[in-house]
Amino acid sequence: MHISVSEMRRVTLIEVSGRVDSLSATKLGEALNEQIEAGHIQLVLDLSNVEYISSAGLREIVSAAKKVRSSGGDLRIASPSQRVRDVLQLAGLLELFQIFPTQVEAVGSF
Amino acid sequence: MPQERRFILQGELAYVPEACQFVRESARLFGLSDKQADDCELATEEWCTNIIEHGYAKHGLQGKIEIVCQALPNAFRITIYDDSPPFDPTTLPRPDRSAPLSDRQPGGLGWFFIQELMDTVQYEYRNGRNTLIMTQHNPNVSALPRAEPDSAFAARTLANGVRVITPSGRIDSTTGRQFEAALNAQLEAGFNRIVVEMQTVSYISSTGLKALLSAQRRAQAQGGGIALAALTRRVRDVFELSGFDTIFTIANATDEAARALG
Repeated sequence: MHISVSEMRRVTLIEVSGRVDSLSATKLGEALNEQIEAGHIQLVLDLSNVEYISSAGLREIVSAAKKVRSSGGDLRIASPSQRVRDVLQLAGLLELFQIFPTQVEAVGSF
Repeated sequence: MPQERRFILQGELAYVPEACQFVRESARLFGLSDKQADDCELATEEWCTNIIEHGYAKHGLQGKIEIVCQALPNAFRITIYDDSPPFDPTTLPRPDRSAPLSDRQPGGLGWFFIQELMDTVQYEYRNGRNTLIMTQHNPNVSALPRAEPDSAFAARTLANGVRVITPSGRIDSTTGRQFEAALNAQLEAGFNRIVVEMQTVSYISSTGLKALLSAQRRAQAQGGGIALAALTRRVRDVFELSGFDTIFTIANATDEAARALG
């Protein structure tokens, strides 16, 4: 798994690629927390290059989303693959997140 | 082809991706679809992670996890054994999937996923070991050992279930029939994804081309296909002149041809 973070004017963009599994999920959680602790609460998580995600990855995303929302921010998801979308659906999370087909739309939504 | 594959890993998260890969590969090898193999992979990660985090680490224990994949009549079975203290997951509460985000517990989804992803799931504490038995149904899975089909040519099976045959010399009107028989024997044995390795084929006649064409039709009708690898210049010319190069995937290397077959 690889994570890259870019700070934009209103939004922090977090692009993830590879496998988000029980081994790598902690790293994703740490990256998200680092942003939240720095006061960045408008987050876009770009999942277009994530080929696989398990419940361990969802756990980190849910926990970060709860934190930013309680401070008035949001975590929005950009371009998940069908496989990732299926897992979000299975967890009943698809309706709880704003999901955008492209990164540009997700960033522009803030 | 073996009808059972076994993998033992040290119960640590670092080894789980390899175990997932093993299960995914076994699922495909034994005839499950890509989507079903995805589901088996995810279910395996969820259960192994549970064992490691709640079975071993929480009790300060170290141990192994044993995974057995089997082909049954019309079903693929994954059995996962571990030596952590007895833990019956069937008593776990179902997560509330309609709760708003603020009420969501971040965890607790793993067992729910396993039940949703697999067709049957059964837990037992057997001979002092936690034993989880999961199956996925698919009519393509056969419990019968596949007999090694007769072939005048060398043949082998790759890890992803693709069959490779390696004819050599001239495939002309005489040897062409032998070639056709060899391809048919593979198809009848249930191998419908075949790579023909042609680096030592010096010549192919229309009889050979016809044999490949008819095998291609049969393989595709079964959801598979024939791909060709490592053609010499001369043989490649025959395919290009006859237009047969549009009917087959032609690759430089065997693994590349096998990937094209999925």
